[in-house]
Amino acid sequence: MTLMELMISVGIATMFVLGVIILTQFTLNQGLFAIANYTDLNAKSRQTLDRLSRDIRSSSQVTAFATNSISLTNLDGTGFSYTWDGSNQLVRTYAGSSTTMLTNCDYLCFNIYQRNPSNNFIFYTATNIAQAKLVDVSWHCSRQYLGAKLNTESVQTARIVIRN
Amino acid sequence: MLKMGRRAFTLIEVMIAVVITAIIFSAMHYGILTGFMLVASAREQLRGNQICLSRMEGIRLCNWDTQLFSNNIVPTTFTDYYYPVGLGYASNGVAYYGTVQFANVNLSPSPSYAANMRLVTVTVTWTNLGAGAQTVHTESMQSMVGHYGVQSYVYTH
Repeated sequence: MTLMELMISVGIATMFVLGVIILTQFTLNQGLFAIANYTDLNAKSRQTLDRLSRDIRSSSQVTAFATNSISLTNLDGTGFSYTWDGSNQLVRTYAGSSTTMLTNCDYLCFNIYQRNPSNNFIFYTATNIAQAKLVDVSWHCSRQYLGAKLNTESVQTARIVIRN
Repeated sequence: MLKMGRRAFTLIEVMIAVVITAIIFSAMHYGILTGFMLVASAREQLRGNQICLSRMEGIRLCNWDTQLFSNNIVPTTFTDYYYPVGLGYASNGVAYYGTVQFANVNLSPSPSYAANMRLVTVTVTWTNLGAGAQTVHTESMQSMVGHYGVQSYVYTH
């Protein structure tokens, strides 16, 4: 084997190995893990949104509000609340017991609005909890893999009407 | 000194091996890309569903006599985006074009209170982004609204 043949062989082998490494990185890093992460986050977010919607719809009034926390009462007088810790968890408290609904939640914001909309379907912000009839909530959850968030973000947003 | 015979692959063998390897990697790559496209499509459809639901929830609060059928209060067309406006995203993403339609209810037999009900249809249409084929998607949601509302919504915890 001549030196030239050796160099060409090494060059081709290097390109092939680099291709395999890049493809593997792409497959694992941005592919399977990202899809698996997103699927898991999205499933938990959907489950939380279903529970949150059901709770708020069946409630009668807001008793405490902050952008990271909301407390409501039901028609039977029982109360419940949802609180985001500001960096990670959303916790639902009902009848003294707490349940972690979301983890890896890096943004969450509650807003409350009055009953009547104005032009162009815009709702007035409630200036006190007695005016609250519509609850708006948005959050996103994400996970990192090898230091990057990539395609692992789940965004949820909803407007929920207090129906009682 | 005995010279040992050297055995090697022929050029044809190497070329066949390279082609087979290329087909395997291409198939894997295509599979991954298809997975991405499916996830992206599911996310866009989920957002479309959120937009429909958000609009439908707001409609429940409108006054029957003065707001519900006012085009100023409840516009029959609207636009929303994949990334909710106001959450600090750098771009809006996919644009969703929506319509809101009210229709008389068509129940059989027709109840006496049929005139106090309407069938609301919220529809959003969007075209997917990304490298795949640009396809127009549609998501629709229907619900009835009543002039005098409904009984209390109670869910037993």
